[in-house]
Amino acid sequence: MDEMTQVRELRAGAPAPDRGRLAAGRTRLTETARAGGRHQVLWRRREFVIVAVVAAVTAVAVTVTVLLSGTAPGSRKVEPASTPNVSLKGIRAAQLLERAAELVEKEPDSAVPRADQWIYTLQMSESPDPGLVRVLGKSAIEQPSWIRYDGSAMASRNPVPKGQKSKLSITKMHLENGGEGDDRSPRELYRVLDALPAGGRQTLTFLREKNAIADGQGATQAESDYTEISVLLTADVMPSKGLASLYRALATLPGGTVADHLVKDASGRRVIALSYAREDNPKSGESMADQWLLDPQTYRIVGMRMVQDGKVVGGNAIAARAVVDKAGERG
Amino acid sequence: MSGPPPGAARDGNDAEVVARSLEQPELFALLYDRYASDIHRYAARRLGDGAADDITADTFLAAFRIRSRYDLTRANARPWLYGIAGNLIGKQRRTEVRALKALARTGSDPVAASWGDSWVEDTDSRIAAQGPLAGALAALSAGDRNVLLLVAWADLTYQEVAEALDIPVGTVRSRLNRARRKVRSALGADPAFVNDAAEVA
Repeated sequence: MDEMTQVRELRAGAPAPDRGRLAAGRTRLTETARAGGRHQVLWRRREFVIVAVVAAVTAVAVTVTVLLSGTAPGSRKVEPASTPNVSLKGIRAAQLLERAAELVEKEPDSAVPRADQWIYTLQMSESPDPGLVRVLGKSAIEQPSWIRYDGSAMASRNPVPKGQKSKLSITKMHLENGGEGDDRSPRELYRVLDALPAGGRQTLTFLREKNAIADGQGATQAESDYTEISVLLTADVMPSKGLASLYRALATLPGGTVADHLVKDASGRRVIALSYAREDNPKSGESMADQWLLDPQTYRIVGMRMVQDGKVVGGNAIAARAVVDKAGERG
Repeated sequence: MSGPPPGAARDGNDAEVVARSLEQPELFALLYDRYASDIHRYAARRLGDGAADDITADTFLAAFRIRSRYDLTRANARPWLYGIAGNLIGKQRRTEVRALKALARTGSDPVAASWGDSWVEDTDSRIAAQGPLAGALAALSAGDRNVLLLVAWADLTYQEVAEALDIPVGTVRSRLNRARRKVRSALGADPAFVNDAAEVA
């Protein structure tokens, strides 16, 4: 036996891991990809066309959600006693957005988070990975995550199979001043929102002047506008008036459609679905759309998902959100 | 093991996956599905069961973050991932050396013991000279050990080791030669090796 063979034989019995063993690491990776890619995908140019999305009418569901109210450092509970009486029949996107803007702009703003505070978000996967569902034995995949307000770190807790303890993993980042490419910190996004003028047209002009995101090649003005707005709609902390301006700016764009009934999201809530079509999938020719999910009581965004030929293929519902002092706290 | 993994034809080779993941980050999970098992086993072999989960996860997270620097002319990402894993394992040099020294001194391997039930003692008892071999591995420089184990345990070619560690092939060759020479002399000095060689013959 020569020395290479001896070395090859040493510890040759090292076991290959089973899939369950690898699941947590895979989730950490996909979460990082989603989180890191979350803004990046949006900050990148996106195309959109017009398409309608239809979904089925279903019964009343009552869920308790903890939603961040404006910039509140604490959390506010929203407990709908029943699905509110929202009439969506025949409503146009612009009307819905004006209604939403009027409602949210009246909400008082609370204290802005401190730089060292974290924004906790509990997301439910709208289209969970089938492999992960098998491993975890459940289809409701909760993804708790935390991001520091100044964008210097993010944290997450991975879904793990039953009986295993989920570990909090914290990743240092440098989101501010373009430290991580085109991603932005919650604080930077807040500052943009806070500076928006009141009207929709004025907001659009303001965003065009800032042009925070490079316009896509061959993108129309409306497409570029939608890109800018959609990034800001995913901000972790939003001032009420800034969100209202954003809604009014979005209302000026063509292509929005509202499902004429509430739809069910991954956390089981009935929500308003506002869709904007994107460029069709070039390979399959299937239609693609962004679907923004709005709470029918607060008219705040509680999720966003991708729809392909009427089928949900990705995205998340925000089940809870709060400002906390430490990563791992849930408000 | 180092051939194209299953699914590569359908989803594209590794370089294509990396390139597409720049626009669609979630696609990077395809590489995890292809290589996480290899990396996990390699980490469990070098540091033990307890470290393998974290090394594997950290390897792919690190790879994901630096994917924009991936050399897209390399169709196979396996060497690249082993290189990253090797660097992470290298940060636990003292842990690795401590276990090798324990094996050299006592004949029982803390790393193999960490695998629990799945570890079959017979497999390793075939090597009569485990102790001296472990002692020799412990005595290698971190760089030489890394090269030797990438070749012997990860089945990388010289060229792949060069890619993995971003060093010239000539350096791979000289490090490997030096490592083999040291191991050979350590084993040659041990009578167990002679017995073993005689049995094989």
